[in-house]
Amino acid sequence: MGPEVEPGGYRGGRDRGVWASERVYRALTRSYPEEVRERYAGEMVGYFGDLCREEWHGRGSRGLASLWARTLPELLFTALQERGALFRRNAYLPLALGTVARWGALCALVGGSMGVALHLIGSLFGALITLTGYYSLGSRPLVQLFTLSLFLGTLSLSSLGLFGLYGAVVARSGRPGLLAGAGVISSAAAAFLWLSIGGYAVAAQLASGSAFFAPFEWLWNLGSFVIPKATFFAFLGLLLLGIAAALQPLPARLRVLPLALFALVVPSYLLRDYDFGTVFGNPVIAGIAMVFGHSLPFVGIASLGWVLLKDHDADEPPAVSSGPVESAGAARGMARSASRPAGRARGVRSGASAAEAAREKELLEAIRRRGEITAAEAALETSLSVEEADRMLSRLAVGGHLQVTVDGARIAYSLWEGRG
Amino acid sequence: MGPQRTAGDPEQLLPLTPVMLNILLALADEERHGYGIGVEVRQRTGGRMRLGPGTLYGSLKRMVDGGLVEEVEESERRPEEEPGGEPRRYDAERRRYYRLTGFGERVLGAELARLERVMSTARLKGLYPPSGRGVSSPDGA
Repeated sequence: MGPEVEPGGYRGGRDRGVWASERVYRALTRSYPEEVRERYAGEMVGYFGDLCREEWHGRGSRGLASLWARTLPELLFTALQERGALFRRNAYLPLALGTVARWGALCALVGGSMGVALHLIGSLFGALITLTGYYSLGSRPLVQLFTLSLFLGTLSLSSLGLFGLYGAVVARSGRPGLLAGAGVISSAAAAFLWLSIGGYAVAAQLASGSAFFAPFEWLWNLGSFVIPKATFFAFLGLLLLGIAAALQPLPARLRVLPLALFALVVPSYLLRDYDFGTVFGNPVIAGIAMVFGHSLPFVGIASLGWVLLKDHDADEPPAVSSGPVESAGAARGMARSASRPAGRARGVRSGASAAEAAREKELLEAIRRRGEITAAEAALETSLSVEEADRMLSRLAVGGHLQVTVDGARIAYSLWEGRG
Repeated sequence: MGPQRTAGDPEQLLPLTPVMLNILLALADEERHGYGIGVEVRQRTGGRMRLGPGTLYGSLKRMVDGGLVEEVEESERRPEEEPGGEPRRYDAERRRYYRLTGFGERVLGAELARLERVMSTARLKGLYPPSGRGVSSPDGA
């Protein structure tokens, strides 16, 4: 811990680093919404300046670097948080973070499914060519346009879908960190490259009149230059988000799946055009390997989207974290609490599915009927097993929602007096 | 600035986040400015909780909007003085002091009571004091 310093001190020439840091931080406060800037930007800059002087005085430039390393991710996260709060209050855009995650996951699912379909169709044509020796649709401009659109749409949607994972990471853990931030930037870069080349293709197509794919050659050349970069960014995004998810207090499936997919997707993509015919001496095996190699990345992305759509409201609550950065759920608490109906305490329903909420209500009604209940009695009164009732009662008690009475080995739970 | 809450059920705001709880604790004994809150929280938690500007002022904003904390009017506060007797220009320029409201005190009390109940449950279940089964001592608030 650095020494506490006299605020506003050190205005001499030797603290140019502090002065510059304050200037840079002042510029960065523009990432906060205007209402926050108007009320607090001056104070935030002053506070940051005080921290800078403290670190500079204590540890010099290393301290200053360390402060920046702590502050930048915090600034990124809290700016997103404040803008998210503003976003949630916007009556015209009533999208919560969870909704963004769901849309992202849907993009991943649609993009991945399109990719699988594209390669299945491609494989079908390939098989027809192999069987007939002459069958071809490749030269027809409409087919080319359809194929390219599908391909670009697939890649764009898949890349945008990685935001679904990011949204899930943020929504479930609230501590995105630098890795997830870098991951989402990579995903955005990939989506941008794919979308821009797609848009460019369409614009050029329209400008060229009725001749579909007149500028196909240059488009092909441009595509061969851009698409590998976009692929690299997409895979990098998946890797970084996967590592970020693995480090977050998420349910096991969400934590492990993205990295497992990365391990499956990238090798299959890299090996998709490998000449397996030479290795196996069998063109059928080579064809199957190529089809799998082309399709597996999209199978993986579609699976990710599907799991995120299914898992986002999983029963399993995220682990409790502590530290200087609040959890997103916790930070949302104040904003939400004003509109939350009485008795619906945060933490009880947070992250719980509708089925879980119904079981919880069933249990609470049983407690109200009986006045006091044990886990075994709850199992007799409700559809819960003893183990489920015990777990749920303990959770509610630890959250401060139920009163616990111990009589020898008997543990009974009741509603707090005057609140039932 | 949103409408300030002056009454209501403090239980509805529970549980508080660790940051909010620590800010309320910092303001419980005296009014403080942002840097004063940051230093108090850091010292009291042994350096485990270092509030960045965004976290601190984001929380303060929500707490002011929620009526837990209020800004101290300049007229209510005597400017801090430099050793020479001159008012400190730095404070007058950019410092804003915060203090707990009555509602904030009730919310803090309710949160502490809730934590006490959690600890009672933990004691009843033999989880606290820790027996080396993976439950660590909750040092710091």
